[in-house]
Amino acid sequence: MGVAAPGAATAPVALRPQRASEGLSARMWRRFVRNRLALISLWLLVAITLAVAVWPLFLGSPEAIDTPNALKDPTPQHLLGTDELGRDTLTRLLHAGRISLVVGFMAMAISILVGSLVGGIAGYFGGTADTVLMRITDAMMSLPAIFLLLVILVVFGSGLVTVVVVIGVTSWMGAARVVRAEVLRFKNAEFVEAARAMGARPRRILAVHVFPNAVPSIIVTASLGVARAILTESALSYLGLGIQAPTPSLGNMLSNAQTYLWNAPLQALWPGLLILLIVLASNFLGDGLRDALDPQMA
Amino acid sequence: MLAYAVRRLGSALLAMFAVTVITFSIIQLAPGGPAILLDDRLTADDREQIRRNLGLDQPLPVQYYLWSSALVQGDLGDSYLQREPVSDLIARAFPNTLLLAGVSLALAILIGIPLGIFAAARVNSSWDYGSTFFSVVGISIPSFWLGILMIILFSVNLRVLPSAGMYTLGGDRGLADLSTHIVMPAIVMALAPLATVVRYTRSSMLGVIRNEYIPTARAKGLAERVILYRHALKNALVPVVTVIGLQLPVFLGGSVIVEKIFAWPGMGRLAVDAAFGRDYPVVMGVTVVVTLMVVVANFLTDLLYGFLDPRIRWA
Repeated sequence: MGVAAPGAATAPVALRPQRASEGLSARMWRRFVRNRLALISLWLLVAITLAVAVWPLFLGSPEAIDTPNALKDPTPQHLLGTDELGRDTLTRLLHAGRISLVVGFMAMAISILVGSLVGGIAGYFGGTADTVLMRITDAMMSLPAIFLLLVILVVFGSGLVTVVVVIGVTSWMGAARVVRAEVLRFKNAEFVEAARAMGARPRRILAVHVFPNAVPSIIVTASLGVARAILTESALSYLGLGIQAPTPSLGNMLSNAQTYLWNAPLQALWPGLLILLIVLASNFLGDGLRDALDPQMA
Repeated sequence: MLAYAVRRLGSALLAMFAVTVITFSIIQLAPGGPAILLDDRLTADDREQIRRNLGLDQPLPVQYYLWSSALVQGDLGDSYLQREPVSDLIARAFPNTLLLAGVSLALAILIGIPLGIFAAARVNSSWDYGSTFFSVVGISIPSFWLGILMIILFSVNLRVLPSAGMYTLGGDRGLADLSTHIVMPAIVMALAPLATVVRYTRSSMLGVIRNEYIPTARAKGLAERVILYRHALKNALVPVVTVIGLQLPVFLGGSVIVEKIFAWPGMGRLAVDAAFGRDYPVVMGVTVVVTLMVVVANFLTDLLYGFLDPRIRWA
């Protein structure tokens, strides 16, 4: 997946002797800042998060119906127009954006947690545990998760919590591989040997000595994971299996809009545009972070 | 090679078993059972009768055994909602999905590999950055949104392509009709895998170009074109083969969305409709067939990879 982002050249940094005392995180930050695309993405994500968190406080309910004004084009009262029930599209879009970000972050958190456990155990203990866990990981990775998601959501019903959990538990495989690789890299390092010699137990070694070193790689995985989770949520909601009406989500707004394409095509534009912006920014951010953390891959 | 193949086959069978057990268990946990039983007009006796007819009164492991031994003989049971064997429903939907996935895969390979080589050959040029940017956009754009935008442009405004289905109703069901219907779904389905193929081809080419035999070839005075296509490409494509094999789940997963956007009568739509109707035998059947396809494709990819790169076999 290694893709060089523009401006990620890093060689001169290491050559400047006066920077030698600079901390690792400061060096990473400077490399990151140099990647303009990733920096713009970071600010874009901050701006979107602030907008969906604060702006709705000044707007009405996203479920307020006003049928005489259905499917209107943008006006000063309705900056992005209205949907088929006359509900304000901007208000609904912001609320939907909120839900998407919440789902994206929470599902990512679950997948990182599960992935770290699986990868940590597999990497540290090795042997049979490693073989079995990584076989399961490979198998899950190679199957189209959406069919499993369909089954689970239909059986257990769909709501915010179910959607977050099922996306989380079907997307931890990438994190597991990353964490395992990091554990393998550090488990025989001298400082870990020292900790072991001093009688530290596996759980402490993993949590205190190995895991902090894996954090940079985990952040990269997490950033890409948010993008994936948001795409999955919106796809499920588009199919009618995710967030249910009348609660707005970017996916169910799009699937509503598709019914009225011939009357109000603009209504299909906004939700998709917001998904694209969030996902694109998370992906560029992830790539930028990867380049900043590991210049060899660029 | 044989030991390698056996090992791979073993894990393929294991994956199959795991998926059927998981799917089966989840469905058994369903509160209320199939939707058919929720009909208010049924008496308690009717419900019992239906349960017995569907075999739902047996213990779970027995149900799994009965279901899986029938499965081995190609019997996936009957649909709860449509009075038809699941295998018939799948047999009708499967070729449509295969056609759509095949056309998309061809698009992804025929455009993705040349684009990846092109980007690698001009590394750090604006062409290279452009293709990198394009490939990130390709994996970031929601397919259902892209599909809807294409419908707005080509069906609503320009009126040149049909927005739904495989054939025009009452049409001649000819190749021309099919082609106009498949254009948009195939493009939408191809985009994400295409972007992935571009990324991998590019980075694989760049990795190979660093090898010592490339400067050697250059030192011999070979033309840059010969070096690129004869020396570098052959080795660069080995990992790309694997990536393409791994794209199959992406295609089949994508079929669920794409077939819904364009009302394409394939496996994805069959699964979604069945899911809404709680028609569990159909959901199970589709999941099992899709899994089987993925497992077989992964197995073949592994074999091909082992064949192309002898180092893999001994790992």
